[in-house]
Amino acid sequence: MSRAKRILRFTFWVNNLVFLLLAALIIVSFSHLFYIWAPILSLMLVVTCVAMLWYMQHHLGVKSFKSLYWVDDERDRLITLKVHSTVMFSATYFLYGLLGIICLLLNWHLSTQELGQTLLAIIWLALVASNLQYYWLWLKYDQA
Amino acid sequence: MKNTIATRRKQRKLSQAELAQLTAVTRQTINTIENNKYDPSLSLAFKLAAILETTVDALFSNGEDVK
Repeated sequence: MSRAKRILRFTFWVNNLVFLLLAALIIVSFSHLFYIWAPILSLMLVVTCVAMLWYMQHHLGVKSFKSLYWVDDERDRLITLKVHSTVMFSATYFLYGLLGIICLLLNWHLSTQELGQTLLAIIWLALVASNLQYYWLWLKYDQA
Repeated sequence: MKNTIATRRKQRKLSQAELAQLTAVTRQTINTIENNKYDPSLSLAFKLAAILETTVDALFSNGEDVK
């Protein structure tokens, strides 16, 4: 397995962990347990991110985190640029969709809290989908 | 695009990993070029030709098998 693929797989799973922690943080932010759990979850998020950076530097040979740091050669770069292009297209279409969804939600006469919860859930789902899409596309173009 | 990299590499008793190291790319890239799954850039094609002591013309052909 190439170094780029190992870095990609590692960041994919860490991103999933971060998304789980973010989901927990979003959920507790709407409950009375917010002041107990928010600092704990925030600390866990920070520790996860620091541990991820440490592991990448010490075990995956990442020397700096400049732009396409996981790319080793021209083929990796080509795959990455193709993936980025597709993900950016998807993100643009998601923004168009979000505009439509917001227009619909405004006509459902939701409370501010309900609207916030719904939008946070949609954005969270879009981030998870984007992470999945990135990983899946990278594997697809790598095998092609 | 077809190529004779695998044949010429074996003639020079080089492994894919060694050729990859000499051309500063990954072994996976050499493997995909040999299997006609990836067309290298012009600079990489010239590097490969130089290491395998041949020309780019002799190394690559457009669709037809090269000798």
